[in-house]
Amino acid sequence: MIVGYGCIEEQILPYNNLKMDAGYFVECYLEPNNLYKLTATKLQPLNEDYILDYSHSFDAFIDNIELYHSLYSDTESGYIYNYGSYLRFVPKKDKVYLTLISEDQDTIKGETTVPEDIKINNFKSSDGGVQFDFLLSPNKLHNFFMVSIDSYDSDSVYRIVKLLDYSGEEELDTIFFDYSFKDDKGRTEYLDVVLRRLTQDNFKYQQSIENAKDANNDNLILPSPLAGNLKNAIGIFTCYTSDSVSVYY
Amino acid sequence: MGTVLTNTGVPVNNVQIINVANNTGTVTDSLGKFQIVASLGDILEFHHLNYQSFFLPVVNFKNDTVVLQTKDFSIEEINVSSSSSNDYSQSSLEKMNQIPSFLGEKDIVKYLSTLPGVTSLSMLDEGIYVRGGNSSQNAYLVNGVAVSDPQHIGGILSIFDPFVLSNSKFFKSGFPAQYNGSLSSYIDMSPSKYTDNSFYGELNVGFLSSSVKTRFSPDKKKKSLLNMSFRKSYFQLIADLYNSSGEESIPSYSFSDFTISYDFPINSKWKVSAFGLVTNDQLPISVGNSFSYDLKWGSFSSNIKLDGILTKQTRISTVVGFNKNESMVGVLSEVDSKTDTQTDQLSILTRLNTNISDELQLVSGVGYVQKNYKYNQESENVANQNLTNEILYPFVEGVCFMGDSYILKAGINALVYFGENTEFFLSPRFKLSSVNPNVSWWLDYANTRQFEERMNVLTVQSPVDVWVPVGQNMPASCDQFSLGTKIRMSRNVKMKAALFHKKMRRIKDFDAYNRIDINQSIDKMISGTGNARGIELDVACNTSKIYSRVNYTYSEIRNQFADINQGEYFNPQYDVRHNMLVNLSGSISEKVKVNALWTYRSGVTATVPEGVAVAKDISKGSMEYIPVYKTRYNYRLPANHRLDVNFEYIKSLKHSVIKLNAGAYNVYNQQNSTFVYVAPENKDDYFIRFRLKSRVIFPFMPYVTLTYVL
Repeated sequence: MIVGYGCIEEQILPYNNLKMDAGYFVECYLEPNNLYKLTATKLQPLNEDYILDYSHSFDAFIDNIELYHSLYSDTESGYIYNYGSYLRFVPKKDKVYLTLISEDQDTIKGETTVPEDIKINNFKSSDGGVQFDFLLSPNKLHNFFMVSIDSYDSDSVYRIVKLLDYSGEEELDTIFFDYSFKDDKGRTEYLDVVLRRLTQDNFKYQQSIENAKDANNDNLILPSPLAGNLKNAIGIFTCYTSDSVSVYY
Repeated sequence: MGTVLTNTGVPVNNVQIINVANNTGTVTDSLGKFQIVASLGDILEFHHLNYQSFFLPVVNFKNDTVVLQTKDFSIEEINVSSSSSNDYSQSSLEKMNQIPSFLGEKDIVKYLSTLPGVTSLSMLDEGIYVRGGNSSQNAYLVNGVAVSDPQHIGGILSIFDPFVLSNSKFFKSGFPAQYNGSLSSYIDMSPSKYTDNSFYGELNVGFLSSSVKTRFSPDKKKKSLLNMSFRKSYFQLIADLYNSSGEESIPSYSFSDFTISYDFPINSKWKVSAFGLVTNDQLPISVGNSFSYDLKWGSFSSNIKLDGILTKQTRISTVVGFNKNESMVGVLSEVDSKTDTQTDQLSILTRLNTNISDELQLVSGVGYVQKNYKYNQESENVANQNLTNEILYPFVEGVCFMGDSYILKAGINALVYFGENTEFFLSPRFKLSSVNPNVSWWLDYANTRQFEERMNVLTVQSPVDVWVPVGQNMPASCDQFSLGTKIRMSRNVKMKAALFHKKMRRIKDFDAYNRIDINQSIDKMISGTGNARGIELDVACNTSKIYSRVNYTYSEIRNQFADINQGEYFNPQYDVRHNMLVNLSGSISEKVKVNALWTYRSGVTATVPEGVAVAKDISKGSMEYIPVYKTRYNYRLPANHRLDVNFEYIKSLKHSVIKLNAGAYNVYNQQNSTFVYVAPENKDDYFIRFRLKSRVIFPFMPYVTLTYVL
């Protein structure tokens, strides 16, 4: 039997000979009828002081749309990106292509499919939870989803994100989603529910991002490299569709 | 045949000698001579009123001289001349008593981790690492056949209760031909064979767990022996109480196990031994609001062994064993999943020991193992897989006694693997030993094969790991050489030194490093090579008052996989370069015993992110730092060291004994790094820097337990 514990001190460890090849990191999430937004930076080695460096210059094209290098900011979320266009993304084909060419003539390429539209049906919410349903696609590659539920009260946000893979579903054509809040987390002033339909590449990328964060927070979780779909860079070039419901109490 | 002498060379009459393997016995004559039927590896127990009782393994069939010491000498003083062939390390309750027992529980696996050439990584990590091999490369056997995975939780407590499994043989090289299927070591345990006919009962009471143990002979003639042990924790009650009172939570871990063995003779030539073990563990872990595990695992192991004498020169034994392991990993996170795995194993082993002549003994037999693996993962999709391993392995080994000083062993294990294609593998064994009372040496070679690998579910080896058969891949193979010597430096001091080298081919790992999709992970078993080499030194000094031991192991392990770290050589997480141990044990008085264990282990490798990306969180639209992991085992943690101590106070009552154990793990509260993680911090108004920080899991931990012995 243990009758007491010693104190645990946090120690800072040396970097030793930890090295990293600082490759490119690129992210672009296309949403139908939204502006083109792309971030192209370099991975940050651990042993160097970090500064938000968005100065890397590329010739950037999505299909035949040229993106311009500047520093952009989403007013709502504060998200910063360094390549954009005044045009909005209007899907015309099944696939969309990305090309980035650096000043050193490094070429980064990516391609993505455009997922089908998604709609939240029969939405219900209460203190106890959230329920709704949505349709699956006959095309299995369009059956990857992300549900995010933000429950706001006066001084905090309770956020739930679920990644759902129904690509193996053979029998159902409609999915009933039911989430029950723990404790009193559903007692809220404002509830925001977003359902996104993801590409398979993006689904795996989101999984790997969560896994990398979890592995750093909890050392029992096996870490894994980031997934992605880019040639010559880490990151993702993808498109998602979404539907949302907001409820004020 | 043998002779029992005092340390002054005088024959000892009326020494009672019992072969604990078959409960047969004899006494010495007036010349101290005795004759008893025994097989290699059997344990002989020597009793005499005026001398220290002790156990002696049978290592040859020559005339052995056994020297008894009077009772003021401890058991380690016994000099067994011309019998030390250094085949294996023998663990017993006496040896376990010499190291501090965490939470008062003596543990076979923890004892083995104190031997030279053997290391363990942390209190969270399951099992032991033997001479550069992975902890998945050890075979745990009872009566010669495999039993379930060894751990209750991490490296804290194994499922093997030494009260029932009081004898174990630990082979780390020069394996007998009957062993195959694991690359690095074989731990062959056997139930207690104490022949004292009186009833023995023991009740251990602690704040976190308790146990009840008993040993007695249930038949009227007192020829049979029943051992039972039941251990149960109630730490979960304290954890639940603590967790209900606040925001922070501690894991509500619980375990229980029940071990039983029963030996009974059928007649003077045949006897039956039965063994059973049932375990059950639960460990829910909550990591913040959005991530939690629910881990459950349990096992059932059983076997029944029939021993008999066919002719004057031939003994036979047959063991049939059945094991079942189940584990469940429930994950509540962004992707919820529940993964159930189950393995069933049937093992049959028949062994013949034949004394061809005084100079030659033959050990032969055949073993059969069938193991079924079932995986079921439920998330939005349900994935199932059923796989099977089946092997048949006839073996034969000759033991030749060359003159008075040399023993030559040569054998072969011919293994047939029934996979999609039936394949045939030969594993030769060889060992040459020189046996001498003062200086002995040995040289050995063994080839071993392994047909399954453990797939980690967590970053540490754990009881919920998933065993995966090699399937269409070729099995892993290991060629191991060792050269060693044992020197009696003085009456009280013995020194043992050894060199080892292992060449491992087609060892397994898994390409997909997370376990989100178990089927994908199972299908991504990859093969590589490994090299391990090292040197071991062990010096033990035993006087009547104090037992002391120092051992040091240097080892170097380099693995190479085409699919890991771009095919470059790497040091796996069990690459412990320097491992040192100092052990002191003695009696302060008749009532108070104390032992202490200081261990030093150089830093092991860990996987850390090499850099950071700033990515968009599409659920929030904001930015977040994402650690980027590119290579595995890319960072070496600082060295670990700690001191454990244990005091035992023994109070004899009229019909019973009370033992009070008090001690501490990590007495000087050394902040040993178990894990490493990355944390961003502001350097000034403009810069952010990322720090590598260590996590310390086991600081200073005192404990006390109370044992009541009937």
